[in-house]
Amino acid sequence: MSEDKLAFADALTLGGMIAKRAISSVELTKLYLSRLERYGKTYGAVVTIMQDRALREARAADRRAAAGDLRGPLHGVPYGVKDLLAAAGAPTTWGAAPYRNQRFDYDATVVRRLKAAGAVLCAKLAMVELAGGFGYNDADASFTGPGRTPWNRNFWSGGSSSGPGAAVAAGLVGFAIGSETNGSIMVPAAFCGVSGLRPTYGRVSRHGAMALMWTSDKLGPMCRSARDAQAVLRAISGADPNDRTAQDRPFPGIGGRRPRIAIVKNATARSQPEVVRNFQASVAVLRSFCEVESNVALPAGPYGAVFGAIFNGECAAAFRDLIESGRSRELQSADDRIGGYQVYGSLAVDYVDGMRRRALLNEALLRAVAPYDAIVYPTLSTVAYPVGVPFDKAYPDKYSGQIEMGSPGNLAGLPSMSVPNGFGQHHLPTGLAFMGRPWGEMQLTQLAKAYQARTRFHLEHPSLAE
Amino acid sequence: MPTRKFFIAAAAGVPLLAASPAPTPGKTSAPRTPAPKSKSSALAREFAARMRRFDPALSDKQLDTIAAGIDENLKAGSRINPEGRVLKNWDEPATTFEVRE
Repeated sequence: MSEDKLAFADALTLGGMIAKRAISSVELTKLYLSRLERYGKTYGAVVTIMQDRALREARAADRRAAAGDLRGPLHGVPYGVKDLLAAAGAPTTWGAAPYRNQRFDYDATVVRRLKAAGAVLCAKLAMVELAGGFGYNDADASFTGPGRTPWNRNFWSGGSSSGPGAAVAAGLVGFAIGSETNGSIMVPAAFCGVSGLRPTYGRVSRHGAMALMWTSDKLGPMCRSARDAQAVLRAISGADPNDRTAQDRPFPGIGGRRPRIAIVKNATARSQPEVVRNFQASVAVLRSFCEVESNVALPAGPYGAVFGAIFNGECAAAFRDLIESGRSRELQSADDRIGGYQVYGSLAVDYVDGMRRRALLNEALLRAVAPYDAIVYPTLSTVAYPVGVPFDKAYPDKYSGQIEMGSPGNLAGLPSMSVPNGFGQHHLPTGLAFMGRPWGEMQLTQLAKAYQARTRFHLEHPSLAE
Repeated sequence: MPTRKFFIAAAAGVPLLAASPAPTPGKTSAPRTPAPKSKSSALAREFAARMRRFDPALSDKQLDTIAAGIDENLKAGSRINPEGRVLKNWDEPATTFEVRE
């Protein structure tokens, strides 16, 4: 297999090759380390390459493989984590200059679990500073520079999991772990053309992860296929004494029946024509194996206002020390330098009322979602935004429709998955989103796998620039 | 996560921030978002002014922008329970206190 084919193979293919001794973990790790070195900065994808640790873990994986002790389908597969996850041996910068020398002497629970699954940690990947908590409005919002989509480096990779999205799309790692509070896995998955899975709130422990909004932070896989996302999620999920929200829950599947999906009413409103075209083509594919109900209306909000009020209170508390220290001035984005003061100035009563209204909204939303295996919509209404242009100026007659679906789903802690479904302007990828019931990740990945079995968008990869 | 401005936009049902001008090249310490055209409330301006205790170098323009953001948050907050019609006294928050052993 050529270097390119290896680099862009999905994690399960790579794990299968290691299991069959067709390649060693050390060989594969060296390949990805050299690609991280060569392309990582070009796409603003990397903070720290962990060469020593990676080679140590790869050698251990090879020794175990030789002894017949394979730890699972990810055994020996190199991966990267968003730099908000603690990993011993490297700084954990949260993408922000004030924390660039921060170190933790332990591994986050997901890193520990992936190590137990035999995977090899290669890199801490770039992210939007503080996961976007302070209100950035352009791609240049990280001390490592803007994240760039490997499909065209003049365009943003999406955020805040910018590095995981770009690194997976560029074949710099076998898979990656990102995080989402409100769109941070789904947006870069769409802009980079990868398969991203936002798990149910509580499926994956956040121990060792930067907190932004305790009641909405989730960690999840970003991969080159839906089947990878399923495998990675299984490896990282489960209860953890260090995170009392994390639970052991089964993964109920769809079974042998025909899946039932709903197309959201006005799903393509204010979308670019190519997004509409690709979505319609995706729905045609889904109709070949699903029962499809069109024009399904979700309960009315105000989701954005409720999410914002809760977010403001939790974000201000999470970063109170930074805000009160005045060190926000060190942040990269001019908007972020003052955004902390804006959230700090929110009312406690708005937070509590936000949480009260959240309970009512969630109840209604869960009733609406319950009959379906997934709610389907375009992940975003546009392709990636150009680097160097404020987001609100990028496509002035459009605005991201994702958040209209993102806030309801994130408020209710529902799982969601984005897979590539074609290309739009500038040959940039577009995304197809599936949002499911609580704990319904298996149903989402089954649907996404069935979709990918009938399409080839997830198999396409960009030609990289040096 | 995408920007807080998305939430405000979603809350208001309008496109993203209506009037953000182009960045000012070469002025790395200055805010890229200028003072809003409309005047902020006295409460927001008062609160914003107090942020100078954390960073005395905050410019007047930055304080204006902070005040505008505080006002937008307050406006969004007022949509959670408009005129007190939705939430009743007994409606509990999504997370509640629990006794743990």
